[in-house]
Amino acid sequence: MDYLHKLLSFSSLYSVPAFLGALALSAALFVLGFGLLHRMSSTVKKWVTIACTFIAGLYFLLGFIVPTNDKGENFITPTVEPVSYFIMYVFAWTLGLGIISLTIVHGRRLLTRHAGWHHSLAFFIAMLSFILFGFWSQIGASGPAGVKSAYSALFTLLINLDAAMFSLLAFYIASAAYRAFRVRTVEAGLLMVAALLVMLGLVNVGVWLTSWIPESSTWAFFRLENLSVWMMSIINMSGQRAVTIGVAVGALAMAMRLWLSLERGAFFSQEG
Amino acid sequence: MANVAPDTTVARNDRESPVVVTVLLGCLAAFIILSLLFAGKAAAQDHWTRVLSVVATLGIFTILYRENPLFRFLEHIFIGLATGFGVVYLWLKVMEPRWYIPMMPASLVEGGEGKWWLFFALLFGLLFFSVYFPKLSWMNRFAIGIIMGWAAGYALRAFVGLIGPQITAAFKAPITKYYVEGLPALNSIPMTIGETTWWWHPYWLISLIVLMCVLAYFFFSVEHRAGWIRKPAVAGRYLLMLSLGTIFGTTVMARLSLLIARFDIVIDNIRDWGVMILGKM
Amino acid sequence: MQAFVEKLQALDRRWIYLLLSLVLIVSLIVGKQVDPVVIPPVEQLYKIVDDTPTGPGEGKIIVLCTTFSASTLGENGNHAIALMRHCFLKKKRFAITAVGEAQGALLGRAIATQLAEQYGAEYGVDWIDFDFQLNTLAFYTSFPKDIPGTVRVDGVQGKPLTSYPIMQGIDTINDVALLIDITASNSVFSWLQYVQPNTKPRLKIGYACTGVMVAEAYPFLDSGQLVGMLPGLKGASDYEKLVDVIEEQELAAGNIPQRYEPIRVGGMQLNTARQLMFTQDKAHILIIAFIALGNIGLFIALRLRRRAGKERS
Repeated sequence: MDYLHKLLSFSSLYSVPAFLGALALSAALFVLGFGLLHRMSSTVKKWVTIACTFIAGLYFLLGFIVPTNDKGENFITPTVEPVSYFIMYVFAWTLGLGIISLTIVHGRRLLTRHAGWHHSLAFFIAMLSFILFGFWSQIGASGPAGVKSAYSALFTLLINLDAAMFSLLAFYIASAAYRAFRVRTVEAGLLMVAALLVMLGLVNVGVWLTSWIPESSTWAFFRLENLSVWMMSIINMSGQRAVTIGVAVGALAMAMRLWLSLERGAFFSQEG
Repeated sequence: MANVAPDTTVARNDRESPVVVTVLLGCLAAFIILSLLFAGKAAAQDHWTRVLSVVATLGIFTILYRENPLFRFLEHIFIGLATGFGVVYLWLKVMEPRWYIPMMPASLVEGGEGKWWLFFALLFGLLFFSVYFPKLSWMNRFAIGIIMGWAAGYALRAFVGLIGPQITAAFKAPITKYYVEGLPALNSIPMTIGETTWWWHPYWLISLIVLMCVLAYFFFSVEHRAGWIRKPAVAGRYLLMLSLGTIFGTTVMARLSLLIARFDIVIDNIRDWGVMILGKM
Repeated sequence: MQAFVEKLQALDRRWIYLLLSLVLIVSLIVGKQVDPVVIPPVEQLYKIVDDTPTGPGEGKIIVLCTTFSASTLGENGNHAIALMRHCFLKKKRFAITAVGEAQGALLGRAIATQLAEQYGAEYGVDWIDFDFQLNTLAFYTSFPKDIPGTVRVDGVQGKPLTSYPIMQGIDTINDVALLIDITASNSVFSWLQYVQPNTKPRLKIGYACTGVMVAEAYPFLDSGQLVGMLPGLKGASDYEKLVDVIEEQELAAGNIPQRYEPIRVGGMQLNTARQLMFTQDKAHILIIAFIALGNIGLFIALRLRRRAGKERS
């Protein structure tokens, strides 16, 4: 009876049998609930999903719009933190989706000895060795020296590959500058003017180019470093502000559509 | 198109000769064995990390010449390492201390708190995996629906927090009776009319005009036919180009910085080895 | 002529790669420290860091979010170094944390540990590591209300935060004088959306971002949501210039044993941003030359084609 009371009041369980019993009961209830729902028609499932989506959204919305007391709290706010943590724990499992997808793709290639199987083997060796040495050394904090050394080497390789991969973009931007940045319209011309101003104004060569204009003169505004700052903090700032406001309004409208399940097509209208 | 060079890279072909496969896999095995062997030898480990940084950089840069087995091999290793890193970090830094240990009773796990209801997080998390079973995939949509609803509910708060100050900042008065501290010289110009001195802030007016023009360009609720909306919209398009130009300029700076840092690291290491070898000679 | 122009237009991209590599390599080999003109957002952030009441006994700390991975170490790594040097030199107590980027926790720790050694700073007294935190609403909700309860243990020794002297009196976000997000992502917007609106007085947030993010940050600087910014490598070099001045003063006063020596992270030596800006100069000129050449080539090709068309007709 005491255990039942603890279960119903979501109190901590310290005894192992009671704990395991609670897990088994939770799993059974969960499976039963979703099993029953699974037997229902797709319309019922769809409406249950829509209702749950609405309630999830309403929870946070109420937390924001219901007036708060002097401490900034209303009847929702004290629960926001534990609920957010719970959702974080749920969401964390989605990493498994990525791992399963990669494992399916590379596992299939490896098992069928498809062309490039050795790349898939390298993928598995790299992933599993990082997992092995990472857990064994507790991210390089403990364990035998050899394991820590292996973890450190794997991490070094990871960050260097990461940095090298990303730095390739500079080559592609140089190639694009030569081959694709063509001034055929007024718009492209304006884009180039602004780009040149910023590129020159940010480096010392730009400063040198207009260094003949005295810093204290009325014309100092036309020194490249000042012009580029002006371009960024006045023209660019206002343009970006308009874009930011536009995007935010669009995102808010989209959020409302998702919350009210008005977004059709890819998601809620699917059968199954 | 005459001005576009033919693609010099070769179509991706993963079928390699057994020699290449053996060499690549052998190198990977040697890398792990050597890393284990360097345990406790600080100087050797230091050089080993330098070798890895140079090899990784030059290996990745081989793609610039043409598609090749080494790049593809390193690419797969990178994906594998990044995945492993994600798993290890997520578990050891988040899930174990915050979910697993508090969930377990102290008699099973040190520091456990017996919060058995946290087990529901795993059960709900498993719903995502129903995507692999077509008949059960509605459960995946159910889980995603809740997450989306939750995020949508927070959107209003996020909007007010982020955009509210933007809207108020956009409407700063271009003419004021007071001087604004900290503005550059051209931002505040005094004008004395009668006995009153007014401060004229031309840049705030320019900002407001740019903002309105760019917003007009994005405002599609009214057809851009009438002059009152068409003209600002056209100006908005030009002004937006200036804004995009600054993004291009700063992006060039960003991309080049990363490449410069990469080259710098390679040159530094090679220079150090050169000094070391010459010093021993 | 036409054949030459068309050949130039269809130039193999590998020549462009080679030319870029050569310019960068030569420039790095002969490179020296530049003396940049400090831009306003950098100066603003510098002043705010300098003025924060975060010294020993002043009751507050700075939080530096090292939310970046190795892919942007060239920019964000230099931001982190410049900011931490400033804090160590002026005895500003700070905490590091990586919100949503696990690599950032390790890179930030590696940088801070080596700099602390150079400047003789003590862990747990002058600085502390809040480790990796997942960038979720849960974190942004609980961190402002209860810092030791959210972070729980530090990243270096794995002890409860409250056991360190630096954390005495540091409980909520009101005890954070300044938060600087050193990032390659848009993580700063999470701080602006979820944390800053609920703080009174408004939490001061600085932004050290990659060049790509610079343009979109300006509206937030103008509105005061961001109090200062280090834009890309340029921002790092400007800040470094300002910090170098303090370092010289401290060195002359005998408060520090030596000048800053470039540090090494994972086989990568991080040279000073001012040195790298020398090469950035040349690289920008090259890119401008590429744009100019490409357009001149196009212009000539179009003229030649037009002329050939007229002759034919």
